[in-house]
Amino acid sequence: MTAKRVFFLIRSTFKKEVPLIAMDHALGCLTARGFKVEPVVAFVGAGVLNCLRGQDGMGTYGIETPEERIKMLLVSDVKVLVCGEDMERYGITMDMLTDAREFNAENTIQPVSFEEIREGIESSDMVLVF
Amino acid sequence: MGTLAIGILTGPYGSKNMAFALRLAKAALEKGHSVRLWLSGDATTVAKKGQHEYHRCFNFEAELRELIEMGLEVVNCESCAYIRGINKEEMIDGIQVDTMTWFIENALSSDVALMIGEE
Repeated sequence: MTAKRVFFLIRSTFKKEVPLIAMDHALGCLTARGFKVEPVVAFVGAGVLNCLRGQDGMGTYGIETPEERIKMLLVSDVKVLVCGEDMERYGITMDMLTDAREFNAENTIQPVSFEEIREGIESSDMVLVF
Repeated sequence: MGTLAIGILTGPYGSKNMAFALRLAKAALEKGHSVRLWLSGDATTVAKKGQHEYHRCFNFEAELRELIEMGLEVVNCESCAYIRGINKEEMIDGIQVDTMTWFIENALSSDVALMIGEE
């Protein structure tokens, strides 16, 4: 069965529930029946802020953070991309990106150019923008 | 005829997104297409029955009932509805409940899929 690639483009920040819902949909791809689905998650624009390490939503507001969801994606071997140009715009460096090393996940967030994200969009079977 | 899957995240009363989604669904149904509507996030609140009619405000419940009658398939996100305290018994008749995987499967098997987010 050929895998259907579903591309999740996330522009929304952690101020909203939207990035969490987007990542839940991406995780939902892994249990789809009738299709083999390969989700790809890409953060662009202000959405790159979701990728920061050390978020403390639980301690501050008693809510989950996008960081926890990103770790779940990485542990589940979902490809997670972040727009390099937007990282630069927000002053985010590689060492500021979260990972899931504490769960022995080798998969990490991959900074890529917007051009590579555009190519990813064009080569996907379905694109969902959040 | 084709199949259109519409996912929506926005609550009904705070923006025009839900009204747009329902109008779009109606237009597609009137042309003979099949439409699947996935309610996620704050959009799940539109499923609640007992909404009151208000002067010059879009009547979401009446519209949903009419569209379901026309064949619209409406599915509410189970976990999003649960955390908002909306139980199945409180939902408009004909609205189903399922997981996010349902939307992915149904979006992939549709001819066109849209996700109407939140700005």
